[in-house]
Amino acid sequence: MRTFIKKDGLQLVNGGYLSNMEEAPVYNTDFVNAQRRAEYVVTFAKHAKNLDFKGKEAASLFDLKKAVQEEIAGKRPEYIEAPAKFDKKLSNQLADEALKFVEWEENSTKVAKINDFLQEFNVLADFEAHGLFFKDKIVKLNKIYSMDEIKAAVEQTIDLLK
Amino acid sequence: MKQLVSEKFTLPKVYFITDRAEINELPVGVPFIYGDASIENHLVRILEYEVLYQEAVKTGFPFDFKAILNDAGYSDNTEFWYTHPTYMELTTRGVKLDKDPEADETLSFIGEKWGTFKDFIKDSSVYVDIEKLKKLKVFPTWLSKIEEAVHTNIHNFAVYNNNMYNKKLEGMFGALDLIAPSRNLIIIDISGSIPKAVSSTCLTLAKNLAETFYSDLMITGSKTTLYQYENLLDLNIETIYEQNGMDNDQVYFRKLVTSTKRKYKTVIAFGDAHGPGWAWKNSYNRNTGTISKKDGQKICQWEVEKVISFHTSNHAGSPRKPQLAGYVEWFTPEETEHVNDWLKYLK
Repeated sequence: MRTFIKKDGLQLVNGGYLSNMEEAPVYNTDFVNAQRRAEYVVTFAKHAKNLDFKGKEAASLFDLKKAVQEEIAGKRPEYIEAPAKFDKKLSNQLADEALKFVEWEENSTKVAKINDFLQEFNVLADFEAHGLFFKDKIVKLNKIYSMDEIKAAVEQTIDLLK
Repeated sequence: MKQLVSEKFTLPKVYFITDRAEINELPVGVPFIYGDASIENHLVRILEYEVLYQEAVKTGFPFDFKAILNDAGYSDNTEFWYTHPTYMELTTRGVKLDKDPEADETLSFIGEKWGTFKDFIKDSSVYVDIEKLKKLKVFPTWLSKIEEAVHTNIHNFAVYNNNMYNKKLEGMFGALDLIAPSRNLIIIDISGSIPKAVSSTCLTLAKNLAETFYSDLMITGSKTTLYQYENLLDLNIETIYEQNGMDNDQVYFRKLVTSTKRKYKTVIAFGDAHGPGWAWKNSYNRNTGTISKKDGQKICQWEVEKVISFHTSNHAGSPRKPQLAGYVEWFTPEETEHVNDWLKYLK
């Protein structure tokens, strides 16, 4: 038998059995698969949260030698004050425009990547917006994840997710 | 347009453009490389090598770059055969080999039986120092910090963008007095004596160099092909080794430089001592004879203002006179610049 269930019509009972509000078992393959994938993504984000994937930059012997040479050479006294540095307004405007473009492109690429990734959760978005048909079959889940939880996890870890 | 990204480590920010029209959409200063979509992975590899190399140099310690590449997981690297270019002087009587201690006089036949572009890009016999190319300032550069790259590129824009440079006013004055920019030429020797890492790296960057430097592109192998700036799309680097062969050429080169008058502002040439003066024998070069440099210069119809020569054997501090890449020997430029140490031979 198939039942159409809306967003607030699902719950996990007795240790995780997916059920309707009358505690009868329900099942939808796409929904369950998407929930299991969501569990991985959200858990991945939880563990990735405070990890440092970049590490610390190693010291450079080259820079060290340069600093030593500079200090030993000492500073040449300047008797006449140098004129104020020329302000390259036009160049700075161009640089500003270029860097804004880079930032915009970075954000656009990130948003596109997030949206691409979230396509596999379309069934959950559909469920939240309209509801889905479920049949009566027994399945156990650890949690029912919402699209908001999944979006937050994906936004946080998109560069690490494959 | 997309950013070049490595799965191994963070690359400098560089955009990869496959559609010429997109170049105009980029603000001045943003680093980009133009080329065919098929070269994306090769470009990423070149940039990865550059990052590794620069990091190793920065430590200030001596290093074994081949070992670093192995440690970084480039297990598919291969060493391809090549012969160290021989120092030579041409005479009208024949090829005269100089008694230079570095000369390899066991120059063997350069056949056409070798691999293809996708194999050669994995050559680990030498490393091409991309920094030397960047210093030419003929294309927008990339640096580890995007801010620095943007400022550098804005500063260099007049140099690599020929349309912005008004020679009469010696500065960036746009279209106040618009004159047609001078055409340049890039020559890439892909013959067997050139280390494969060199020719494949140059080929990977060829369209980018040609596009940004407003140049025609000449590929010399067993035959020579000239790709004019307008027809750069015709160049397919994936098949160029098979198309042009990997011996050297006299017949096609001679025909090109003697049949039509051309004028180039700057010629950038990547090569070794081998040039069109030798009596090469292969399927494209049947009735050839030795042509001296002097005679070559007499018959050459091309006018060149400046030559920048990337010869595979030039080293700074060498007591030997810097050598000229072979395929520019017939030109008579007003100025010649030799780029040294752009190759690191990995033993």
